[in-house]
Amino acid sequence: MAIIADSEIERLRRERIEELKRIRSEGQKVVGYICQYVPVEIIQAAGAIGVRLARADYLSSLLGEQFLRADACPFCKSCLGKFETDPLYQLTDALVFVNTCDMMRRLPEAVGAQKNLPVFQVYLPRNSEPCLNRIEEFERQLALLRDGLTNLTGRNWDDHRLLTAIKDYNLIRALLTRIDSARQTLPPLVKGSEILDIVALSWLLSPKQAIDLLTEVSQRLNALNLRRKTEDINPELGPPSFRPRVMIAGSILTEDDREVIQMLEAQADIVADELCTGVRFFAGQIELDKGPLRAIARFYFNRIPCAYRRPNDLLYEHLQQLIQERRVQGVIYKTLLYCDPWRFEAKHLRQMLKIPVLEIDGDYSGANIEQLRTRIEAFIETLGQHQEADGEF
Amino acid sequence: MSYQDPQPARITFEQWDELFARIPDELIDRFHYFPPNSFSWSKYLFPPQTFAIYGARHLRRLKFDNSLASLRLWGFVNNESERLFRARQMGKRVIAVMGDLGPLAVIVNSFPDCIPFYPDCWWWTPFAMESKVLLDAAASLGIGEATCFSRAALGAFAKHSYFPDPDLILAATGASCDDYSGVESLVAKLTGRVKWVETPLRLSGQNEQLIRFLVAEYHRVVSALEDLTGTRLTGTMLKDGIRRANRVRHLTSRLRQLAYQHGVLPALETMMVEFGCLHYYSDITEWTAILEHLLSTAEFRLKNGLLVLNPESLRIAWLTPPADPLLLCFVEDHNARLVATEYVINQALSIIDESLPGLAGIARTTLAGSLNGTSAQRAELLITQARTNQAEGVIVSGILGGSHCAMESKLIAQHIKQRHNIPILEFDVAPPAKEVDRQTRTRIEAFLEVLRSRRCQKS
Repeated sequence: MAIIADSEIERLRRERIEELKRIRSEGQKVVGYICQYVPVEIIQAAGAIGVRLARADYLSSLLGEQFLRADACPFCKSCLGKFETDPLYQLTDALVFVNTCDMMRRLPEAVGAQKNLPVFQVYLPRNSEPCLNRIEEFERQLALLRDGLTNLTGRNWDDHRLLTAIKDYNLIRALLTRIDSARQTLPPLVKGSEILDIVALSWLLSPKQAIDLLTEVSQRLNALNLRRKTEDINPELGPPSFRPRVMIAGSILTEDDREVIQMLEAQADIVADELCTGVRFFAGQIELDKGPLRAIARFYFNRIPCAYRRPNDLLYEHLQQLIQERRVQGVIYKTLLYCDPWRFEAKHLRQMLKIPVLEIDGDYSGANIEQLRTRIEAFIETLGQHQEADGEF
Repeated sequence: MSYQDPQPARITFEQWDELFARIPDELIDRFHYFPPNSFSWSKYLFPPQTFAIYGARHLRRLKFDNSLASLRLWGFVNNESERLFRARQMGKRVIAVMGDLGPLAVIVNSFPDCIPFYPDCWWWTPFAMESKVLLDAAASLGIGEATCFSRAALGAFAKHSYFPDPDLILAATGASCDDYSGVESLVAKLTGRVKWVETPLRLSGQNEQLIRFLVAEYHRVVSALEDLTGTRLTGTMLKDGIRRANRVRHLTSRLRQLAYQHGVLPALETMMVEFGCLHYYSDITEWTAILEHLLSTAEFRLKNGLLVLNPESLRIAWLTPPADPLLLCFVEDHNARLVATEYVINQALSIIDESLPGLAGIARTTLAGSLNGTSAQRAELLITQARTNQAEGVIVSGILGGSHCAMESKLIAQHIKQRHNIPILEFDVAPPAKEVDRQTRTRIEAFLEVLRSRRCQKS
């Protein structure tokens, strides 16, 4: 039984887009952001509505090739194309980018050249070593973003609103972390695909709506867990199935890029992820021991690093920690074609992790879908054989 | 001892061999790297054939300027690997500087007996050697095809035979391409010892704050070098390092002007002059002497109307350095010449403001970097020169899968069309081979034909 039905997700999404249209017609600004490093708290505190734009498909990617070369990142191309096709993208009054990888840092210029939208570009040092000058510089950039956004919305800045936003998003992150931990159980209480859908809803809905939804989901999980403990075999849950436990890691996995997930879940449990649209989006809490802007700067600067950051050793540490905690047997390493930061790490990652890794490279085209299915099936089968041989579970 | 340059011309590999026989031995003995050392092992004035025997097979297909100064340049550039190993033997510190293309080498060079070099420049090696050995080595470490040829640097680190294992690796990242940042990341994993330096974006109206930020980064570099060498960097040492770097940059600027405005030096040699601003081919003193020699040759040629390129040839602006140097020869063989370039190293060509505190002056040039700003700004760097020198067309040589090429090529082309309205040819440089691939050849020929017909129409 799904913890959240597809129809419920679809309804929430549809209603939210309608709501955004209405709010926007009343004068409030909708600000789109792309990346996990954008501090949505500042967007909210500036009086705008922040929505993450993390959708991509092949058609929009092809449309993006009007502006970028074919060998550009498929996600970046798709972002450009989505402004032609996706109602959510068309609702945005401004965009916030953080320069992360080279492709992403050049995207604002491409968007700016094609769309008449205010674009804010925030410079986050690529270097992840938390030296004081780097965090101070990032804080200065956030102050510039704050000023730019308040100009856009016409609202006066108020630190109390920022504190409220921090509390709201801290709660959202805490709830998502709690829900995600339900993947740890044997068998998992929640599917990997559901986690990704819930995370995607959390960046689309208003903070209040997101908190309500996540609280509700959390309660459903508690109830399920309780029933599982009290009943040997729950008719709703079915018999416990100990399927291979896999992790998915790699480049951004967008909301509508679900084919690999579906293939995996047909035979295995996705018990962990290392994705910016998954755990890296909600891990951690902003600690308010300094001024709120400095606290935000420190939090985002120190997030579990995307592979593009230098050095990115903490990414590997986090991967290894998840593998241990969640008893992961194999990793699906899914990268986007021409996504250098993630593709270049594949070989090293394979050596470091010491468990089977399946590398998949894609561009949303689905051209190799059947080949992919065979590879995934073979991979999972191998993990199953390992599981039997090791007498695990 | 008398030797006079022949009538300026672009000559072949074989012709250089014949010409070399006429150069007196005394003259050959005069040039040594790491002067004032004069040991016989430090001679470098050899004909291209010497380096072809040692593996630089592509030299057989290039055309060279026939001046003694250019021969000096070729010998010196081709000799760099040997020079770096010698530096180690002589007790000098060999410092790999990666990614920032220019500014960090100025700091390193301010320390006594520290030799900076850019592994980045090994991207030419697969082409020079007509070999994929370094690219294959990079692939075995995780960086395969459809990536910038700069991945050869990773292969060179893995092979341990192209340069000595550095005493320190400084890796700049930030406003850099993903390809090279990936190379740096894997070098860090391979060697386990990299000092990271952040290079920020150039953001409108924020120069002073970003300079302060960069100065803090550079202080960490200085500390690392002080720890390594046991020498404290004084203001005077840094000023002296900057002055020497500026001397190279001034000479380069004048040479570019003479080459691109008057055609007194071919594009290939001029490109090598430009890239000498990165790290002076690991020996700033001798490199400066070579530039002075080249400049006196160029000025002599101009004064006496002895041009190496036809002044009536088509005038081309070139964006992004071609990994295959044969492309530059190919264009010149087709009666065209370069009059403007943007080789992603503007930070190394910009003069450092000596009135500023040392590190701040260097930081300012870092922010002038070609890749630190927007694509439109980069296009403007080329357009300014192209207008001055009346370029008739722009060639953009890209790299398949290179992150900045993929993202900015169309933007730059669009910008140039809007602002300058001259034809643009864009192509990706093919992997190392013995000749320019047929498709690229046809496209360049067709492009030059278009420019020719446009010129006819105008006249």
